[in-house]
Amino acid sequence: MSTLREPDGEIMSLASNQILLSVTGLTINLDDQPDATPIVNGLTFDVREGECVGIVGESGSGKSLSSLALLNLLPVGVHIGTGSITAMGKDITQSDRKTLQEIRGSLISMIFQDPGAALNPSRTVGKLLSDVIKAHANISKSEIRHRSLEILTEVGFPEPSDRLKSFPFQLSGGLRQRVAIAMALANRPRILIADEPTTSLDVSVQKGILQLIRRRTLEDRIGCIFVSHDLGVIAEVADRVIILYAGQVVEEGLTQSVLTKPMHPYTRGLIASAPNMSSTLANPLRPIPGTLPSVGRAPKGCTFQDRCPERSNGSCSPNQPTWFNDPIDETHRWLCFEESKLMSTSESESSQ
Amino acid sequence: MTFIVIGAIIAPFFLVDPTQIDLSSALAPPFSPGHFLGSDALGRDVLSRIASGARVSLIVSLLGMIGSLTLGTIMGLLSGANTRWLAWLSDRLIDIQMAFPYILMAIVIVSATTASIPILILLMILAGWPSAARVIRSIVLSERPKDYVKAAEIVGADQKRILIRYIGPTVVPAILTIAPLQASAMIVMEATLSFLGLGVQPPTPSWGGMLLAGKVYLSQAWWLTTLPGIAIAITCAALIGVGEGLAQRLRGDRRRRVDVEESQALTAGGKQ
Amino acid sequence: MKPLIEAQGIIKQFRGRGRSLDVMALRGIDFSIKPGEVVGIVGESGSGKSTLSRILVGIERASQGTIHHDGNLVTSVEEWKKLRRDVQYIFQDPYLSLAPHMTVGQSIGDGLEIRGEGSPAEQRSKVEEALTMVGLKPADADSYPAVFSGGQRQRISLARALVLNPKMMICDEIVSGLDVSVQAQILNLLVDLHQSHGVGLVFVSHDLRVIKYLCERIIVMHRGRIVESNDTETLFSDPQHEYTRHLLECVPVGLSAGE
Repeated sequence: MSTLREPDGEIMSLASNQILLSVTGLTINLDDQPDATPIVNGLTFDVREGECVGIVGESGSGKSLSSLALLNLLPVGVHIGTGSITAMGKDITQSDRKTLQEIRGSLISMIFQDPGAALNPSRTVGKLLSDVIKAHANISKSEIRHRSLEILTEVGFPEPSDRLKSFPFQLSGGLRQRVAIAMALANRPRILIADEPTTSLDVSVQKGILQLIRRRTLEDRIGCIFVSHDLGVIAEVADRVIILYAGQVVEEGLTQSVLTKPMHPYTRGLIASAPNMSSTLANPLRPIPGTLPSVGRAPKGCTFQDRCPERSNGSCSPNQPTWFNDPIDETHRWLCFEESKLMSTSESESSQ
Repeated sequence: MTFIVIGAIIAPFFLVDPTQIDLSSALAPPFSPGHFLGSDALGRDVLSRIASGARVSLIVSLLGMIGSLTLGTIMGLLSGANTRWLAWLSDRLIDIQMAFPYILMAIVIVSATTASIPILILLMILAGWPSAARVIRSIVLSERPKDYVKAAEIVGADQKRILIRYIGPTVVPAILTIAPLQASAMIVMEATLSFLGLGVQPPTPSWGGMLLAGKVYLSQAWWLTTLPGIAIAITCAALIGVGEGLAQRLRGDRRRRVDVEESQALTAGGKQ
Repeated sequence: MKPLIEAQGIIKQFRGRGRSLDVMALRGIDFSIKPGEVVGIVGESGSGKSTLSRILVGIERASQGTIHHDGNLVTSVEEWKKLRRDVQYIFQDPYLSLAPHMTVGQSIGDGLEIRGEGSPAEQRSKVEEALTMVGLKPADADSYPAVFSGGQRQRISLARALVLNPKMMICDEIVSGLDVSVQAQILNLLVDLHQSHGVGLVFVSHDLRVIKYLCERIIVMHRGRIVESNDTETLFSDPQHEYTRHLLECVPVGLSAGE
C-alpha cells in the first residue's frame, strides 16, 4: 500500500520545525443571530514548515469557512468572533486591508475546488500568472516571464512556453488546477491553503495533484492546510489531521494515529461509513444515524451528542466535553466525556 | 400605483360629470373655480376627464394585458413543445407579429371594421403578445433540458403534461413580472391609438383622446394636453415601479455564496 | 436467463456547435444486463458512462445501434414506454431532479396517475409506502422539495422510481455530491432494496470504492469504449486492461485499522 507521506521518523522531526501559522480559539459566528451555535467553535492548531495539516469534515462542519477565515475572506453573513490567527508574526484578524492585500498571494495563498470557476476565462495562462506576480512585485516583463515558466515547470505543467497563450477553457481540469497551483505558488508563499482541490477532478488526475502538493510542501518548506471530506485523500496527503463536526474539533493528531486508532465516535463513524478498497457487502458500511445539524443549530456542549451511538445519558450532555490524550502519540487527542469506555472498545477491536 | 387605481375607480362618483358641456367656462386654466385642473374647449372639467379617462385607459389596458399574456403564454409554451413543426410555427408567428408595426396593423384593422373599444383591445392583444411569448419561450427552453423534466418523461409524462404540469408553473413568476410592464406598454398603446383616432371614441373620455382634442389648443391651453400626458407618464412609471418591485421580491434574497473567482482574485492579493 | 436490457453497437456522436468539433461519446458499446443484477459502470470524465446510462433509458438517443428490451427491439414511443415500466432512472443532482413547485407526493405519484393505476386513495397509499421504503415519513408527501437535504431528495427520487415497481433502476452518480455519512445511508438503502425486493441496479460512478462495495459485476469505460468487463472480485484481483490497472492504482487507498 503506497502512501505519499514520509515514514514516521520524518514526521516526528517536523515537530521541531518553525511554526508558520498559529490559529488559536477561532470562532466564526453568524451575523445577527446571537443565539445560534457558532459555525466554527474554538478551532486551534499550528502549521509548521514542510507539514501538511488536513482538515476533515462534512457539510456544515465549518471546514471551508475556516480556510477562508485564514485569509480574512469570510463571505457576507458570517464574521470572526473570538480567536486569533497569526501568520509569521502578523495577526490576520486585526490586519487592515492593505496588509491583507500584501499577505494574500505572497505570504499565504489559496487554491479552490473548482479550477474552472477560479480562473478568469478571458485571460491566458501567461496573463493569469503575470497578474499574480505583478500584484506583489515590481519586476520586468522578462523576469515575470522567466518566473512564470519556472513555476509552471515546478507544477509539472507540460510544455509551458508553448502553453502560455492558452486559455483556461482549452485546458483539462487537471491542467487548470495546476495553473491555479502555479498562481498560488508564484510568489513563494510560506502557507498554502487548499480547499478540496481534487474533489472535482478525475481520480487519475487527482493522484498527480496530490503528489504535486506534497512535493512542493516539502521542497519549498511550505505550511499546507488541506481541507477535504475524503479520508482516503487525507490519508495520502496530510501529516496531521483535524476532524471537525458542526464547527467543533472532535479529534486531531497524526494522520496515522487518528485513522488507525480513531477514538471519537464521529471519527469512527466516518471511517465506518466510507467505502474503501477493502469494504465488502459481507462487512457492510455502518452509516452514522441521523442527519447533520443545520448551520447554527448544533447542540451545545458536545455537538455530536444527538447522533452518537456511544452516548451515555449519565455523563454526556449537557456538560462540556473534555480532551483525552493518546498515551502513545502525544499529539493525538479527542473531545469526549468518558475515556475508559472508548479505550477498551478500541482494544477489543484491534485484537480481532 | 394603488392611489391611481383607487382614484380611477372612485373619482367618477365624486366629480363632475366629465361629459357635461359648459360652454361658459370653456378653456379655463387650472385652478379656476369649479375646475381644479382647468376645462377644455367644451367646458368639460379636465380633472374629471382625467379621472374617468383613467378608468377607461386602465380597464382597457388591463384587459389588453390579460389577453396578451394569455396568448403569449400559450404561444410561448407551444414554442417549447417537442413537436418540431408546432414549435417552428409558433416561433414564426412570433417573429412575424413582432416585425409588423402595430400602428399600421391598427389602421388596417380599424378601417376594415370600426374604431371601438373591443377592437382596440384586440389590437392591443395582437401587438403585445409576441414579447410575452418570447419571455415565456426562453424560460421553457431553459427548463426543458433540466433533470426534473427528463424524470417526468421517464415516469411516463407526455409533452402536454410536461408543458402544463411541470414547466408551466415555473413561468408564473415571469408572467407576474412582465405583467406590469405590459400594462404600462398598453397604456401608452391606448393613448397612441386613441390619439390617432383609432381607439376610444369621444365622448368617452380617454387620455389619448384628450391629447388629440387638446392638440389644437396647444398654444392657448397647454393644460389640455400636458395634464393627461403627465397622467400617462406617472401611471407608466408607477407600473414599471411595481414591476421592478415584484421582480426583486421574486428573485428572493439568495444568501451570497462565496464567489470562487472573486475569492481567487482576492487570495492572489496585492494591488487589485 | 434472457437479458432484461441489451444494447448492441451503440455509437453516440454529439455534433459540435459552431467551431467546436464533433464529439464521439460512445464508440460501439455492447452491454447487457439480466434481471436482478447489480452492475457497476465506472469511468472518468469523458468516458461516456453517463451518456450510456441515458441511452439505456431513452432520454438520449443513440446515433447508431440497437436496444432490446426482453428480447424485443425498442424503437417506437410505445416500446420505450414499455421499457420504462421495467427500468427507472435516478439522476445525479438532487437539487435539479425534483420539480420545485410540486409536492413530494405529487412528484412521486405522477407516474401512477399517468398510468391510472388504482384510485387516488390507492395511489396515495402507494406513495406513502414508497416513502417508508426509502426511510422517509409518509407525511413528507405533503412537503415541497425545498425543505429536504440532498440525501433526502435522493431518497425521494428513489421513491419515485420504486413506486412504479421497476425491475431495475439506473443510478447515475447518485451519491457523488453527498456527504460520506449520507452516502453510506443511501448505499445501504440500495443494498436493502436489492436484497428484499430483487430490484436490479445499474450503478454509474467514478468512485471505484463505492462500486466495489455495491456491485457484483463491473464495466470499465474509457473514452467511449468498454475496456474491461468482469465480476468484481476478479476485476480487482486480476485486472486485465492497462487502464483498469491504472485506475486501481490511483484510488486513494487510505489507511485501515490495524495497519
